[in-house]
Amino acid sequence: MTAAAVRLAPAGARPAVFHARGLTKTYTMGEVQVHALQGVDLDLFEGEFVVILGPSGSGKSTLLNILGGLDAPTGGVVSFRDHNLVAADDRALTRYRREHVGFVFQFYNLIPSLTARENVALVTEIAEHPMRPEEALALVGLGDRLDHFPAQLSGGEQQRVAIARAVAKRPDVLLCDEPTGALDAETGRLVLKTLADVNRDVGTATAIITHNAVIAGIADRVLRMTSGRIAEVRRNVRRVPIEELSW
Amino acid sequence: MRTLDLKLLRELRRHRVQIMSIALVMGCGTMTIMGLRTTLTSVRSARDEFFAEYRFADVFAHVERAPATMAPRLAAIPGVAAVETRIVRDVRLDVPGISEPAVGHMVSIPEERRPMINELQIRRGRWISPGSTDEVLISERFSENAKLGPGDSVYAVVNGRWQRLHIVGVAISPEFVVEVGGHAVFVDPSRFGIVWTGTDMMESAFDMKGAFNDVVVRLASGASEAAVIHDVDQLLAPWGGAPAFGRADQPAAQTLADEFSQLRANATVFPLFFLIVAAFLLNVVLSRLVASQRDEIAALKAFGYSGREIGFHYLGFGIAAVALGAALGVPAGIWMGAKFTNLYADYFRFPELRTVIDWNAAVMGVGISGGFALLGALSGVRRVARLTPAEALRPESPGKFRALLVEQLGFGRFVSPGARMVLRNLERRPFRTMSTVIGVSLAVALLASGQFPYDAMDRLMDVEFRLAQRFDVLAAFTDRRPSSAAAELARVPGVVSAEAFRSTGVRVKHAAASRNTSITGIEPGSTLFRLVDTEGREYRTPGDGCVLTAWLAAYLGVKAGDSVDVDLLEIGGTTRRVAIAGIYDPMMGQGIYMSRAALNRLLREQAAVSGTYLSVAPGRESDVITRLKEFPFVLLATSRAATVQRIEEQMRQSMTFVLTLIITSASIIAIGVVYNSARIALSERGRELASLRVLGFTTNEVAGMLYGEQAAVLLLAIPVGIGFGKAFSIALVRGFETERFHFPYVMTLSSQLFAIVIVIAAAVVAGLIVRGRIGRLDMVAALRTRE
Repeated sequence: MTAAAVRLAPAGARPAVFHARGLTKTYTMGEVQVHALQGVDLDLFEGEFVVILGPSGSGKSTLLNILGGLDAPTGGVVSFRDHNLVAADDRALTRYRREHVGFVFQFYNLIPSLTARENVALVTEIAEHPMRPEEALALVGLGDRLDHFPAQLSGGEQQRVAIARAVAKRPDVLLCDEPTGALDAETGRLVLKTLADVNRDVGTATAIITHNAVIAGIADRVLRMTSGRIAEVRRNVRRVPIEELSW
Repeated sequence: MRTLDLKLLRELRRHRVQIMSIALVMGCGTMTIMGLRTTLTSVRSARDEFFAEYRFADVFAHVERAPATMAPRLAAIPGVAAVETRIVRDVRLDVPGISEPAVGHMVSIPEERRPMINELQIRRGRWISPGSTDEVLISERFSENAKLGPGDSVYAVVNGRWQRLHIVGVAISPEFVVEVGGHAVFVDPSRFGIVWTGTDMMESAFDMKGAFNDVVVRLASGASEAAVIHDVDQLLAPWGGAPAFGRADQPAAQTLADEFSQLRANATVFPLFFLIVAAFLLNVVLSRLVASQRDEIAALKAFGYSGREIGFHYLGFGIAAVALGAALGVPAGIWMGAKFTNLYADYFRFPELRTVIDWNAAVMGVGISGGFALLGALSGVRRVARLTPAEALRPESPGKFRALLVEQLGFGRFVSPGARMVLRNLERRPFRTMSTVIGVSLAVALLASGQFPYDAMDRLMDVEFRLAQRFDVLAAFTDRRPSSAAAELARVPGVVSAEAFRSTGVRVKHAAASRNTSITGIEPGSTLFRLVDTEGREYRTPGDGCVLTAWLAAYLGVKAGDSVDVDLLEIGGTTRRVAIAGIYDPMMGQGIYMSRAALNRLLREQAAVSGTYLSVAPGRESDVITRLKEFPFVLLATSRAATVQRIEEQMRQSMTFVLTLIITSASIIAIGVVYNSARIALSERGRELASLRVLGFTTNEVAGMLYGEQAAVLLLAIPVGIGFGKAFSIALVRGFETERFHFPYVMTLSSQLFAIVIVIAAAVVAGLIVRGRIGRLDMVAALRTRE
């Protein structure tokens, strides 16, 4: 653990899962150059529940992708425990994702041709100590929808399958990109509760990115991003119960 | 089963029409390779077995008349395993119920034993009985076509006298696997047959007691054919021996070899169409599948599936298409092989013509088509492996559209917005547009060049029988006759004009090359038989010297201005030198032409003739032929019209089957390509098209925009396809070229139109299949899902 991380760590800190300094990312979309990250410093600790807030285009998805080993930064350093993610090649990143990371996407990214159970099995098959798919689906309250295809599930149910798929491998970190973005408030609360329960019961470090400021209340810590930088770090003294959220 | 495999299976079911269309194209490729190679293997192994088991001769020689005492001396030649001496003569036959005279190629056989060389297989009846004076065996094809069998009789003109021959059996021989007559390339099987009869009878009938005029030799293993031929020639030269020749020059063996080389050419050219198309299709379909599953690929990558694992998953679509293609193509290939082999069974007579499945070809067909297809699949798969997960997660960046070339040139206002949409879409994906165009154009090419053999044959018939051979009846004489014989025929009622010809067998030599052929001497201003080349140009026989066919000139390595040596077989192989005045390239036949007078001079004879070309008054042909039969010196009288009709009938038989095959497979290609291209356009632009439906466009209007693209592709593909077709035809011309045929390169307008019509029809079918999907476009869902 570096000195800088120690300084940024809250009192009574647990060890850091992620450690990033001076992250920059520039990419080209069509004919436009996008400076998505312009120097991000960040630590995420074991068992912590973090919400990253920011308007669209603030770079939060890019940050999440880099933490998850989906993308490489243009500059800066980032490590997961003792893995240097910048130096890792494609094969090492693939292994990293396979062994340590659980992803939840805004649009669920379920495989339409596979049932809920099979979507989860897709991940448990390549994991080392996974739950059984049924167990993971029961965890998100879908124990009775095992053999439904994505097209037969509501949006909230699909997102919960996606969460089950992400947690079934017992990942060290859970990275969620706008998990409630495509859902109505009630369904969104159900999904957030699922995530919070997993965080509490399994102790998985969880990072959620959203542009919905209301959600920030449920986190241990809130990072606010604007224009590719972390503009504010806030620690919630009290985590708001999910039932009290409204938007 | 792994869940990823389950995904593959489910999605294969969803894309079954596309996968099936690719598998069908690939199946066609495998089928053609296997079908043609199986035919080749079947006929070749039947030939090899027949030649080996029935002890087909290795060396053949003909003499005027040699004493039987020469036989042991021939057998003593080093390298000779066995010798049979025989008497061989062509006679005129009168077959009950057939007005034209038939030719019997009489071959003597021993009465007391079976031949050591060129053994016969008795198909029906029995061997001739010793001491009989009128028992004969006839060849099977002749027996079937002339409807003659054991117990029937035919009449033959033997040494100028009619004699009754009693048929006791029907046989086949390796020597006459193909019953090739010496006088016409296309022989009516009811008018040419092999007649085997006892040596004693032949000896007395042709005044050949204690003599022979034909020798067949079998070589000991390891013996040199050239050395034996040399020794045989030396021994027989004093007896009027024509140069001996090996199997390569034996007519039946040569015909078979020609056929094999044509089959090989076909087995190489045609499957290529399917393999290329299948590779393109798989490439396009897989690329699209990968593009449409970006989200899923992103998720898989995010969960830690490696590019390799995902790549293999998508390659599975290619493997499934290949496996299905093999499952369809291999049995179809066996079926096609059996069918083609059966077609050959009518022309080639073997003891048994079994379909010998060429499993190597199956392995080769599946291997090559699979290899091609997977090659096509690979680029789509490589894209998956290369896609970084974060990139896969982002929607595809909007395609870069440009103003069209026509717009840049300032003609934009002439192009409607709908047409612009179509053209920009085509321009945006040049590779895909190109592969679709190539795919459809290959279907056009296959249809256009698939008709090539028939177009070429039509043209050949037209040139040969309208420009070159313009006689109505050809009368060939049993032997050399004074020119008065021709004059006699010219006086037959109904004959309008007659032009006599002289023809004689020669061995032509130049440097180390030599070839058995014939010299035909025709009247200088001949109008009934003219020398016309592939381009329709007429050549005249010179006052002196000769005209060589281009094939023969190339074979001998000579050009106009050179001279060649000819051994005149009719007069004991005397060698004379002839100057080459010109070379011409006919479509049919090979040989040497001179003026009749010059040939007479070369043979040191008076105005002798071998036959005459007759022009006959309309409607009098059968009268004339009936009358010609009464002249004992007329061996053969053929009607040109009957020959043409016979050839056309033969062609029609094989044509129906081959054309059906070609049309079916070209339609499969066209439907496969157009369907896939429309289907992909629909899946890519479903959102766009659904939006148009939301804006109030009717299903038909939306379909029109989608079809516009396919129509533009068709428009481009047709001229390209015709060009490909021409290139393929030229390749086929080379493959088909043999000693006897020089097919012209032709592609008729009607073949081109035929190709175009079939491809358009196939495209319409494909369009109708997709049409249903446009009707089912879910407007709301299409607008909600992210691209």
